[in-house]
Amino acid sequence: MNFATIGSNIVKLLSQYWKVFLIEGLSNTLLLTVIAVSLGALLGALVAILKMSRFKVIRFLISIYIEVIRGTPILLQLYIFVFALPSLLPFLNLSYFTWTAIALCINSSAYVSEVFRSGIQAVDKGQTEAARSLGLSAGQTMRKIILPQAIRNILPALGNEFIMILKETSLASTFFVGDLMTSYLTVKGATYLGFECLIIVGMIYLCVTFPLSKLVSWFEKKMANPNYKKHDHKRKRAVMEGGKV
Amino acid sequence: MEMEMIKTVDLHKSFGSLHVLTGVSETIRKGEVVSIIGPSGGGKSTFLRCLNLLEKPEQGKIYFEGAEITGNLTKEEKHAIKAGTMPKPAKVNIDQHRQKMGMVFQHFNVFPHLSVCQNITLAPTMLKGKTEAEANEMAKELLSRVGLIDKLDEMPGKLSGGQKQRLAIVRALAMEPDVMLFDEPTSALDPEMVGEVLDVIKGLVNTGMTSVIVTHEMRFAREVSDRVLFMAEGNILEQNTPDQFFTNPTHPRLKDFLSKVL
Amino acid sequence: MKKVFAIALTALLLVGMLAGCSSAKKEVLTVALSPDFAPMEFVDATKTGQDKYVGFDVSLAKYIAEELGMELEIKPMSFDACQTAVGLGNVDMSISGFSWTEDRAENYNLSDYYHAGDNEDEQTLITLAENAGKYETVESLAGLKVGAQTASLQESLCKEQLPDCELVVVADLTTALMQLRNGDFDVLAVAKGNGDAIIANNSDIAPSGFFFEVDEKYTGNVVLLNKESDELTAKVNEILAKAEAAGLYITWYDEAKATAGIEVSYDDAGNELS
Repeated sequence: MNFATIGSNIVKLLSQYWKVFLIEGLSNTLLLTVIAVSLGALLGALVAILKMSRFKVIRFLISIYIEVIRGTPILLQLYIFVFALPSLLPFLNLSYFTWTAIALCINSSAYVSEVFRSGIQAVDKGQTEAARSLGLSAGQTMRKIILPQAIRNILPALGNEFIMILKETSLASTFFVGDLMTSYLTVKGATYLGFECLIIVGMIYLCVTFPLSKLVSWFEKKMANPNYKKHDHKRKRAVMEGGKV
Repeated sequence: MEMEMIKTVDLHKSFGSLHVLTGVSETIRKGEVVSIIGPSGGGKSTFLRCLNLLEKPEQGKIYFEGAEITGNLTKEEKHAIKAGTMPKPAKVNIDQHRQKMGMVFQHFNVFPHLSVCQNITLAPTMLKGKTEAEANEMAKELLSRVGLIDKLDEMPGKLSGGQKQRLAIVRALAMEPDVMLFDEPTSALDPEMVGEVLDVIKGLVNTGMTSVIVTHEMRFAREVSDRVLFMAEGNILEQNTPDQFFTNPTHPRLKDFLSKVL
Repeated sequence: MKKVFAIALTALLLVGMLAGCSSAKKEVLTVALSPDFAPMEFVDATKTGQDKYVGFDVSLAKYIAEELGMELEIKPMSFDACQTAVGLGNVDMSISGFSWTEDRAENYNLSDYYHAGDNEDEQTLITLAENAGKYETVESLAGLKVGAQTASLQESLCKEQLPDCELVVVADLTTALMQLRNGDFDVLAVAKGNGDAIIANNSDIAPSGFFFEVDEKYTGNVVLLNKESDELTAKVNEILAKAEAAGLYITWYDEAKATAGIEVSYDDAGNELS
């Protein structure tokens, strides 16, 4: 293997195709990821709430939903959303990009719902009891006591989910939705410099995922320390009291 | 005649096949301090947790300040409702009743994401319509009473076990409850911190606060209580004034128990 | 929470619908292809939208659409997905350098052959530069390992004509090149057009000198249509005959090669090739 050639090929590819990789590929990958994780988080929250429902039938259906999504390859899910659903719903004239985005949302919701559920259930039961014993309703307890504590377990896990989905969007390139892996396919198809293209997209993925995972672990540390709000609170009190005087 | 604060009638509670309460009937009067002692698994904590419905008894009734709070109906009542001779009782709003029943837990259960001050002010501002300033004033006063005023802005993570429990007590007091329920308040504490918490409770009962205390501290129970209950095998097997209770036990289970712990 | 989600999903659907709604005055002919295969179908990075898909098959698709009086919409997707999409009826047809195989003939309607040019008809072996020209005959290949893309024409050819070789099945050409360099096999079976493009860009790869004997049924490509669209298949066959008679294949292929040449365009010294 001639590394000098590979190196110079990479430089040439970048000078000619940097827009394809960075402007088109990276932005579409990030867009797909943001859509999938943010809407997936909303849907996941709903799924998590239903999973903790009082009704057995709902819990059962939701666990089927979660198991099916987590137990099947995401490629199959993409095929179903891109090919099968449009045939069933012909009045929905959506682009492949939209269908893959929806598929990734659904996929992400199953994982995120488990993140939410375990984050909530990891909060000590005594917290609920203490809040309820003061007279807070179930909803108030969830909002004021449980969620603020669960968020510390949830946010870092959500960050990891973001990184996972970021890499999983590469499968959407099956439908040439313009993500980074699509850039790889198209440039490689035009130049037959497959290895070089792969290195380029690999580096771009790494440039995004590495700082992200650093950010997540920084967050994890910060969240693990329950004193993190202290200074903020002090400042607020000082302002409040100052205002009173 | 003293007023009834809490009255239970024939309380039954099971966890799966385990019958934990086997028909407990008891009355706590206003201003009374009642300690409950007994072996582990005897139903003391479950009984206490039933009083504010943290555990829901399957059968039996609880009257708090005269109002029934379980919503449980006897067979006769069910028939009467069916026959139309009795109106369907209104739905119980347990949150309303719980505001008047302070509870202190074995494991403190202070809110770790809120400052000491916020732990105290949260419920009064949310539920009793207090302004932030009023609630803060009260928090300061309560914290002074239990020697924690210098911790006002700390996060609970920085507090010792004894300090956490004192915080938990004033958090409950901030709701100005009519009765305080203590569930083994010193069991999870290091020995050197037991005293400071018991002192706070003692100070509190001396103000005339109606209290029900599940405890393993025999000397403390004897010192502060008006009445001591012995619970084992899911029911109250004996009760008496503290002196009689500890010096003249009659039930063999109580004799056996006291011989082991004293 | 439910409300927020519902609004968000609705918004997503609406955006998608607007994006999906093209000016549908004419009827649309949807053609799936896998644009990672110069010069048959690939992406011209200087262009955007539908215009960026170029190559021989794209020219053919445009011609077919024009002849049918329809508007062409290219649906890019992986080679595998192309076949699935035709099978499920998600697209009208796929024009993506398909060779005729028995399995395909069984599961799809295949058009008559079209010929992209000599380079696409010829099937050859490529190897490492140090072995250039070493393996010109079946005998010289005996006992060697030969790589071929899974479910491809080349795979069938290797089985038929190189029975003394050990066949190694590979997923795609990029992987195949890596494996060739790693010594996983000695020679790689490719269409000559692909082989030429590979050699132009990779100085360590060279022709082996061997050419497969290609039966007439393999010389050329076919359009893939759904089993149920006999009428459209007949029309496509008519259009193919017309294009061939007009000599359009050579024009399209030269154009495609020229476009690909601009894109491919480097020798190992980094000079632009003409």
